[in-house]
Amino acid sequence: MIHSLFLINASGDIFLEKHWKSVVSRSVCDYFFEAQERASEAENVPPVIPTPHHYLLSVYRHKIFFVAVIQSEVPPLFVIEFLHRVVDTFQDYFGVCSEVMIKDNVVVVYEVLEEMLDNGFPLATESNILKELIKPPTILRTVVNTITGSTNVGDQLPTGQLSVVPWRRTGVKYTNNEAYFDVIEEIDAIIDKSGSTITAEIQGVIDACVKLTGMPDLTLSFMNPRLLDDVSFHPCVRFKRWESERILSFIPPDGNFRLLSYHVSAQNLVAIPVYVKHNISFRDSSSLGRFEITVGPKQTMGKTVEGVMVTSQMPKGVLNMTLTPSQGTHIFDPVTKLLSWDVGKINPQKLPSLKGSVSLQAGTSKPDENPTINLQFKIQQLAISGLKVNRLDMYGEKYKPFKGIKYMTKAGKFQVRT
Amino acid sequence: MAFEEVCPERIDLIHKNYRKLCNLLIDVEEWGQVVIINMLTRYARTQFLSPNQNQESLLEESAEKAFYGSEEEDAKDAKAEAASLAKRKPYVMDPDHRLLLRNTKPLLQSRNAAVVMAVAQLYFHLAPKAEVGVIAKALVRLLRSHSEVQYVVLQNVATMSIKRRGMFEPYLKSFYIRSTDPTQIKILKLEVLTNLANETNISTILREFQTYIRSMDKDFVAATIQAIGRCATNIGKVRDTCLNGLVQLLSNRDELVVAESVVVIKKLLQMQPAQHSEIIKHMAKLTDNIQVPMARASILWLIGEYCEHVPKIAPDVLRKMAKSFTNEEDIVKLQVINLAAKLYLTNSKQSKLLTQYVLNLAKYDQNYDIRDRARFIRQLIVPTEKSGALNKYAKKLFLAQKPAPILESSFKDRDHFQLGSLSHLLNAKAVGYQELPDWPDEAPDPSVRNVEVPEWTKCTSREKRKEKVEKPFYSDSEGESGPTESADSEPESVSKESGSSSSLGSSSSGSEEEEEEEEGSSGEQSEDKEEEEKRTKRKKEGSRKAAPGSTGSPSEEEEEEGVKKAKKKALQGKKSCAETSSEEASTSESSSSGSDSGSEAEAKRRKAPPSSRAGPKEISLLDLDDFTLAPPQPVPSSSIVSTSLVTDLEGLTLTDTSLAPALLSPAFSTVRTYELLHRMAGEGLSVEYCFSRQPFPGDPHMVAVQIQISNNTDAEVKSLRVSEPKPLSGMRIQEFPEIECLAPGDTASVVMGIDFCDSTQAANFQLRTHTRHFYVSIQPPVGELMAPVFMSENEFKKEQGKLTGMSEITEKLTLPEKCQSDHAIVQQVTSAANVGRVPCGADNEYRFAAKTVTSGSLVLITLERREGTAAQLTVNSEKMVIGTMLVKDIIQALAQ
Repeated sequence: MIHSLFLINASGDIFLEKHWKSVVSRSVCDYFFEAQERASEAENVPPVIPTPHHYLLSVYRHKIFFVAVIQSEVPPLFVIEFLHRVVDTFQDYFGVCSEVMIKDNVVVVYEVLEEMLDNGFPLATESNILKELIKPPTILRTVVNTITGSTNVGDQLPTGQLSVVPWRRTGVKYTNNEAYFDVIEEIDAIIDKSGSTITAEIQGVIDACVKLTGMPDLTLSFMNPRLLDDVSFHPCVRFKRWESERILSFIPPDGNFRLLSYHVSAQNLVAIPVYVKHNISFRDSSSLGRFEITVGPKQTMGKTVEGVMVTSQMPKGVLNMTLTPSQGTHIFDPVTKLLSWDVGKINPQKLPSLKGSVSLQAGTSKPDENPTINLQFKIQQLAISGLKVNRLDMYGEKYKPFKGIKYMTKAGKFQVRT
Repeated sequence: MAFEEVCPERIDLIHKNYRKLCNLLIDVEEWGQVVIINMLTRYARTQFLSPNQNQESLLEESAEKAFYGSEEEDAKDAKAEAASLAKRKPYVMDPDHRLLLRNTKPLLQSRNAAVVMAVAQLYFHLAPKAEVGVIAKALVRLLRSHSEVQYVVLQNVATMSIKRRGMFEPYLKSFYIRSTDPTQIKILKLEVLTNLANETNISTILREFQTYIRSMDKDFVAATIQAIGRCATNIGKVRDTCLNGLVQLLSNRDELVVAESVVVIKKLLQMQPAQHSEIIKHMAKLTDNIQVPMARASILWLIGEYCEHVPKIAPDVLRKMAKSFTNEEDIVKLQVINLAAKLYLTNSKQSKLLTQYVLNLAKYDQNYDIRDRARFIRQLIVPTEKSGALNKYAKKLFLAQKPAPILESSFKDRDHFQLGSLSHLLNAKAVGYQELPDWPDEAPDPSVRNVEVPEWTKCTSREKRKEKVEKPFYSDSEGESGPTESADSEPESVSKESGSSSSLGSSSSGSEEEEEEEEGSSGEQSEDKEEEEKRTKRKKEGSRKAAPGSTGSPSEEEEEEGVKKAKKKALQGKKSCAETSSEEASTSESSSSGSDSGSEAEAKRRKAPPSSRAGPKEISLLDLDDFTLAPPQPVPSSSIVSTSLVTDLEGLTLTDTSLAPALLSPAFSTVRTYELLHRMAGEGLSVEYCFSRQPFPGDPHMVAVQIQISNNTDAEVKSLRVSEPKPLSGMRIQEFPEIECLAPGDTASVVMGIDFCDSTQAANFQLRTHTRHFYVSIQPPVGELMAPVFMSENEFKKEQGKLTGMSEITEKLTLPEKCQSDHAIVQQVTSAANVGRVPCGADNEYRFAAKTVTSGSLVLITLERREGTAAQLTVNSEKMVIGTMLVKDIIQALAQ
């Protein structure tokens, strides 16, 4: 299965390598660099590259390429999914997954990788179990380790792995017992020139932060479970219970985890909470163009739209932009031609707008397309699909937990074509 | 995994473990799942017959149907489809094959993309076409994931969409392209969109393509133009529109766009050159501007090929090209020679000198290919004394009719690789790739998978380890998992039953299968449970023997036999009314779930009522969990159960309506049928309905009404459906799916749901056929507006305490002679109202509880027997009207 792993940074240096079966020479990465050169942008590097003796499967995250080397047939998603899991684990351990962070914690990184993959096969990929095996680094522990020369490897086998609930360790104790659930929905939409919706769908997740003593058994029920069309669960959720009663019943892992992700059925119309008015034009004769966009709230169910951020990739011919926003700040990067405007909150009485002119490279003809506008926003206390949690019950433990549920709607891939 | 590494071709090693693997699959850790599913796919391809052998034609349409509509309906449709398919053709799916499909389906919900993909490929390779649709949704979900995952999934979707276009059509919009996607994803999405294009959606797709053409990403634009070309060739209707659009693109400022359009136009023109000489002329003008060699070559070829259509322009173009010949790229040079040769043959007067000039230039070219070509063509076209017979045929050689090219997807030939594999992605055989075997013509012996009961306890050490690590997580909820488990297996068991009783007539398969199932289910239990289980089983075996009322022999096969016998009996009776069919469904449900699924909890549950009679020894064996859960009557509390139940009902009545059985179950002994449409009023069409007392699938607030339609005319009745429901305020009607055709003498049974809003108002609607419509109405008896709930005695008392005063109605009555026994009283009450019995300490009191279907308010009934024949009936309910009417109804029922 997976023979080796190389970590390559943006400038093309292999800064970490790990071999599980036999040592594969670094030179195998040359094929990767070749492919990288051919693809102008980092995202365009093909995830699978065949070489005469090996296959290179890579993922690109946080500006780092994670390149796995395999020698024989294996489902590509198997490897890719595993690599993503590695990145998630690093993120979980170190907060951010960056080159600096990995270099700083190189010992822990090797320890973690050694546990995650055994002779090329994924072994412990649950972050809860890993954290018991190898303790995440803290400042205090680093200091102690440097002085005493010990490592972060736990001296006990994780208890969870052998129990019936491998994702939860036994003997969890908290003084404050609390369970928080965040219902986060993202709207993916494409809006066309005239403002009509081409496609829109809602994807949601329920992220949980559960800090409960002992072995609680939770059930979560919804007011309108029929909204959920396509769901995927954390392994702790009892699937049969969901099938029969539409109730989420589970023994939660300790700490943060993603309980479920769902898709709201396509039949339901999606309320688009914001609209964008735009007037972008380039004139053929002069080297100046006009640029004007206004953002306003549409169907927000009385909630304020916050954290609005407008980004737009300008065509190559644009030299500079002189714009004045009615609120917020804007930046235009003349190198990448990326315009971003941090709007902030939308006040329905005074709609934010960004006006000004675009200067084009003299001599070139006007760009034949208008840039698409990408939108980001947040609406607190609202699940746009109308999903509501009915109640959360706990069985199996005596104490009364503190329960909290938060709703939020965000823009996912929200694009306005102009 | 060791198996895959060491000996992937030793299929025979899997036989004994196959069922265990299937059953354990869901509890195995996710990485193991991927490997096992892939292995099982190959195994199944060698061991089972193809489910799609002889129904290519009829499936296209049914697959189509299954995709629209809600999830539940989908599942229902697919199941019904499968059941009816199994009936229509002699092919009967191997139960083990079905087991695999059933056990892998929940894994589509996994968070691990690799698992989802593995299941998807398993379904694609193994499932009957009608059922493949379920994977589309899951795959579309994966498109939200990281771009690398998207890349792999889209590759696979592209292959699937060629073969099964209908599968992804509902999700067309999910493949729309965003400007932020990486180019490789864009191109793959484009590929999928092109594959999905058909006459109905082509206009929307083309509109999308128009926006893509203006994109900044030039590679992507080029791919879009090619995609337009492919749409145009595949769908004749839009060819002209596409061509016009492409011609407009010729005036685009970007050279790449123009070049790509030229190439595509060339291909399109080849299909119908005669009408488009204008376009050719226009393109000839472009030679001055376009620099991209491929495009120049295309234009030259076009002009050469159709020089007869543009007799004036062609020589002029050749003149220009001759001037710039030395500076051209190789492919352009070749085309110039080609053009010259063709012109020489058609119009030698004007172009003789030009041709010779070109050929001379080519003779001294650096490229040997061009030199060779020039020499060859000179010999062929210029007549000399040495030139042989070929000369005469030069014209035929050059100006032969050439077939139009077929623009095909590059994913066309990929489907011989196993989907989701590395080899498929690369379209080349990877090291260690195991070829997916073809379906066998003859099914190998299925009995190899049978395992002796004692054998599976001493499994290989590998299995043991696995079992230890992956003990089932759900061991604490077996009670709940039991019913769903059995529900899942039902539709299939029904189809099998009907199949075996009607066509095969052998009962051996049934009994065999049930034996396996039993092992399978126990495989699911954790190891420590297994021991206990066996004890239970043995004890039960004993108790079964002792149990009174069993048909004499204790085995479950016997019971099944009993059902069949009953069916046969009924066949003689030729009774076919809705009442009995519903009963059969319920009994067959209980018997099949008991004998078939063999789920331990279910079995225990079934045993519960007799065991309480048998003695305390039995009770001690049952888990406390299971015991409290065990209701006096099997009441499906879940919508899934009822879904499959409805399918059962439909399946049964549709398949063998004449086999209406005479089996009576005590709880439903007096289900009444009501007439909806008399055969006189309905001109030969008679419709009856009854309340099946099952929760309506999909909406718990609806009362399920089972409708039995029989056609007594001598003509076919077509497109039978409900129309123009005129519900009173708040009332809702869920119509049954349209019955397309009902043959003379045939009977169909359907289920519709009505939300009566807890009132006894009638629901009015029209029943339409292809010729007539009838106004009908359904009026529910008050007892049908509720569904039983189960509560303990204490709960009952607590609730009753809350519902006193106004909401309590008390009535005195006298019990007639025949209503003296416990059994009779319970039966009368449950027949009058859909209530569940509540256990009661005192033996002269009977308690029942139910909830109204719409508002869910409790209805509590207490019947207290006094001395002699006197009794007192108390009904506690928030809904006073319902309470009053219910009292009346129950008294009437008891008085009968």
